Order: sequence, then C-alpha cells, then structure tokens
Amino acid sequence: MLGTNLIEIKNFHVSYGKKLVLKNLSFHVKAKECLTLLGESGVGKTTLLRCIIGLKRPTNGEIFVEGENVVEMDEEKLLAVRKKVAYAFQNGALFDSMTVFENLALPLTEHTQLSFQTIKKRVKKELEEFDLQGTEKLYPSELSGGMKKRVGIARCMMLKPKVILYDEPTVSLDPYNTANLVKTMLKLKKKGTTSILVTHNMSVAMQISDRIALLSEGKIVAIGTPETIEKDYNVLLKNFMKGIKGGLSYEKISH
Amino acid sequence: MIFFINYLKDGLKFFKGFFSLVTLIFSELFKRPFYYQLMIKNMYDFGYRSLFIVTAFAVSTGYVVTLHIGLSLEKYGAKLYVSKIMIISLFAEISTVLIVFILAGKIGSGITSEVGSMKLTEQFDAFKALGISPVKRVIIPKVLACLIIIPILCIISSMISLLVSAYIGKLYLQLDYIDFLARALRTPKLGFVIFGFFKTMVFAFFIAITSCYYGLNVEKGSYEIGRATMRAIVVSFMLIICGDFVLTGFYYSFIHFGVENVRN
Ligand SMILES: Nc1ncnc2c1ncn2[C@@H]1O[C@H](COP(=O)(O)OP(=O)(O)OP(=O)(O)O)[C@@H](O)[C@H]1O
Ligand SMILES: [Mg+2]
Repeated sequence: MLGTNLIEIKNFHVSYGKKLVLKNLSFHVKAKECLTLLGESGVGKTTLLRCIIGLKRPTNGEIFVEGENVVEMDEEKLLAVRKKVAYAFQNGALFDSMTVFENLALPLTEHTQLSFQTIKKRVKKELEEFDLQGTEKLYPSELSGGMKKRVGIARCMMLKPKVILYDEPTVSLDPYNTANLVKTMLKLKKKGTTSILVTHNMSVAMQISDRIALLSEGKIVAIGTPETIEKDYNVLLKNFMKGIKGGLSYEKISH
Repeated sequence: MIFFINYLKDGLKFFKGFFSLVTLIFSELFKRPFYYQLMIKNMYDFGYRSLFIVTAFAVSTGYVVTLHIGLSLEKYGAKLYVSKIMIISLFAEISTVLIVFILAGKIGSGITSEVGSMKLTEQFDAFKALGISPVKRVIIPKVLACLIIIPILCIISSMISLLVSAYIGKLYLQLDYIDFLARALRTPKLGFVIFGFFKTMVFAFFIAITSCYYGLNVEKGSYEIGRATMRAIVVSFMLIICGDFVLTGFYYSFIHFGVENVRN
C-alpha cells in the first residue's frame, strides 16, 4: 500500500465571505505517512483539516480521499468518509451533556454491534492509554483543558480510523502527556495509520513526521522530509521559531 | 421604509430556512438509526418540567373564566350554560392556543439555547466528524418529542381546567358536579375536539421547527443565543397567532359549515 496517495488535494481555494484564506493549494498524503503542517496562527490550517472531512466546502478545487472526491459528496456519503478519517478538534469539541465514558463510547455504540461489556473495556483501555483513568463518570465541564484535549483525541481513535487529522494535539498538554501522546501517535503510525498533524511544537513535528509542509499566507512555501526542511529552509524555520512575524515567507524576510 | 424592507428580508430568509429544515428533517426521518431513547428523554424533559406551569395556568384560567362567565350568566338565569361555554372556550382557545404560548416560551426557548450553544461549541461538527448525523440525533428527537408532548400537555391542561371549573361552579354557582361535567362532555362535536387536537399539533410543529431553526443559525458568539431565543419565541407566537386565525377560519368555512352546531 505504501506509496499510493491516500489524500490528494488539488488547486484548492477556500474563503470566508470575501476573505480568501487558502490559495491554490496542492499536495498529497501517502498511505501510512505522517504529514505535518507548520504555519502561523490564522493561516488556515484548521480550515484545511475541516475541508478534508467536508465540514467546510472549499470555494474551488478538489480533495480526494482514497480516490473519491470529497467536495462533490452529499452529507450522507460524507458520513461514511468520516468513519475512515477522524478529526481531533482543536478545542476537543466534547459533548457536554454526556460523561467522558459516553463521549468515548458514542462512536462504538453508533457504528458497531459490540456488546456493552466490550465497549466498556475498549473505553477503559483508551483512557489508560491517555492517563485518564477514573474520569469515566465526569462531565466535560469537570475536566481541565488538557484533559478535555486528551479525551477528544481518545474519542477520535475509538473507531480505529485509517486517517487521523490532529489539530494542535499537544497544545495545553504538560511535557509528560506530550511525550505520552507522541508515543501513542508513533504506535498508531507503526500500525499503519495515516495522519496529518498541525502543530506549533517543532520537536513533536521532527519526531513523527515523514514530511513537513510550511504554510504561509495561504500557500505552501516548502514541503519535504524533516531533514531537508531543516537543512534547506533553515532560515525560515529559525525565523518561525524566533517568532518573527511573516517568518515563513521569503519575501517578507529578504530585507 | 428601510426598516420595513429589512423585516421583509428577514421574513423571507426565515421561511426559506424553515422549509429547508423541514425538508431536511423529512429526508432523514425514515432512515436508520432511530433514536427512540433520546426522544423519550426529550419528552420527559419537555413534559415533566412543564407540568407545574401548565397546572398553574390551568387552575388559574379555570377559576377566572368560570367566575367571569358564570356570574354574568347568573344574572340572566342561564348559569347552567357555564359548562358548555367553558368547554368550547377551552378547546377553541384556552387549552389549545394560550397554553401553547406558554409552552413556546418554556420549551421553545430551551431548544433554541441548547441547540445554539451546541452549535457554538462545535458539537454539531463533532457529531458529523464522528459520522453521526446531528439532524437525526439532535433535531429530530426534539421535534418529535414536541409533536407528542405538547398536545398531551394541552389535554392535561384542559382536563384540569374543566375540573377546577366544575368545582368553582359548585362553590359559587351552586351547580352540581356531575351534571356540570356531563353537560360539558356532551357539548362539543367530535370534529371540534379533533380540530382542537390537530391545532395543537400544528402549533407544536411551529414551535419545534422555529426554535431549532434559530438555534442552528447561531454562529458568532454567545451574545447571539439570547437574541436567537427571543426571536424564536416571538416568531413562534406570530406563527401560532396566524395559524390559529387561518385554521379556525378554514374549519368554520369548510368543515363545520355554519356556527350552529356549537350553539346547541
Ligand atoms: N467561521 C469563520 N468565519 C470567518 N473567518 C474565519 C472563520 N474561521 C476562520 N476564519 C478565518 O480564517 C483564517 C484561518 O483560520 P484557521 O482557524 O484555519 O487558522 P489556523 O491556521 O488553524 O490558526 P491557529 O493556529 O490559530 O489554530 C483566519 O484568518 C480566520 O480569521
Ligand atoms: Mg487552528
């Protein structure tokens, strides 16, 4: 399977009203690969991920998931795609009328015939994986920010999706949980899960990505393996890390 | 003038949204899975939590209307007719329209604010992202629960009002309980009762769809939820008022030819 394009994005434009956010984006993600998107806040990373599972429609362009064009699908077909492609929301997006257990169990009760006991075991295992034991009966309002985040990520892994889109998964996590999450992500990757990762955390990006794409002003400035990016686009990365505004764009920093 | 045009625009937008929501609901209504449990939970929420205000309203109107009508009729020696007038006014307006106003405030506002805040916190998107249709899981159970529970609350309210009315009749007008109730129950034609029931179903539908619509249109922030709730209630009121007018006119001109039957 390795080598085929699981996700392919072609001539992709997105705008909110009159504001064009992403301009003429084209890239692909191979099966079992982890692609990391780096870019400033507000460049449109979340928007891009939302488009891939059809939560937002692009103004123009195509998105293929396993050869099928997401842009042309109706809601019903999209539901099927979303079972394969999980999206870990930037803010967790937990259901606040349900407990942590119910939040995690929901995808399984909806889409599988598993018995309650099996579901209970799966949930327990997943909670342990994220160091969340004993939170089953709590409501999202009773969790800390980092806990919510982890529950959100755990929930999107329940169905064992083929592709996971992580939206800044390590934000608001402490170093221990960050390392833990990286471990889990690497484990899933080893099992063959494809992923797109949006992050501001360079060390996480370096640890798990096969390729890194730098986004600036709605365009991809550079894309390549972590090594090439580190070597060839060192100036850009350094600027980005130093916190220089517009640091990911050559034009802005040339003088 | 501009004010008026804006109103018109808003109105058109609302009706467009209303009908597209209705079509969306119908297109998903018969597809699996069905969320019975959520529907029952919503029925409990809407129904049980409204019982107090429904009872208070029914007792109060039963008392007030009986006294007013009874004491006026007594002057003409016609106090026996209190029960007939009472039951007609219950089915025509008090327990089918006035009570629905209260329920629009109670149930409709709850729906709008809940749906609105779910929308804001991306919970609708989260359902979609998990491959679950939020319309089917959130909207349809609420709409069905409204369609079932509001007519039931109306029936409960009319029964309470009638019993209170009978009690007041005995207390102040020296009327016999049994006679009062028997006269009352003999009065309305079956068609009239069915019409009243049908009316409450239509109003329940208005309330449910309107409040879901305004909830779903919350986009920008929590300040919008208050406004959306207020609008949902006002628009529900408008729809109920117009609906009552149209349906009653329709009933007396096409179904019930003439008003005589009510007069007996
Ligand atoms: N619902 C919306 N309506 C209008 N504009 C929006 C909306 N959502 C996002 N935007 C705009 O689109 C741009 C991209 O937003 P997006 O959330 O995709 O950024 P991001 O790259 O994920 O940023 P961050 O790293 O802060 O999460 C921003 O400039 C934002 O102002
Ligand atoms: Mg984002």
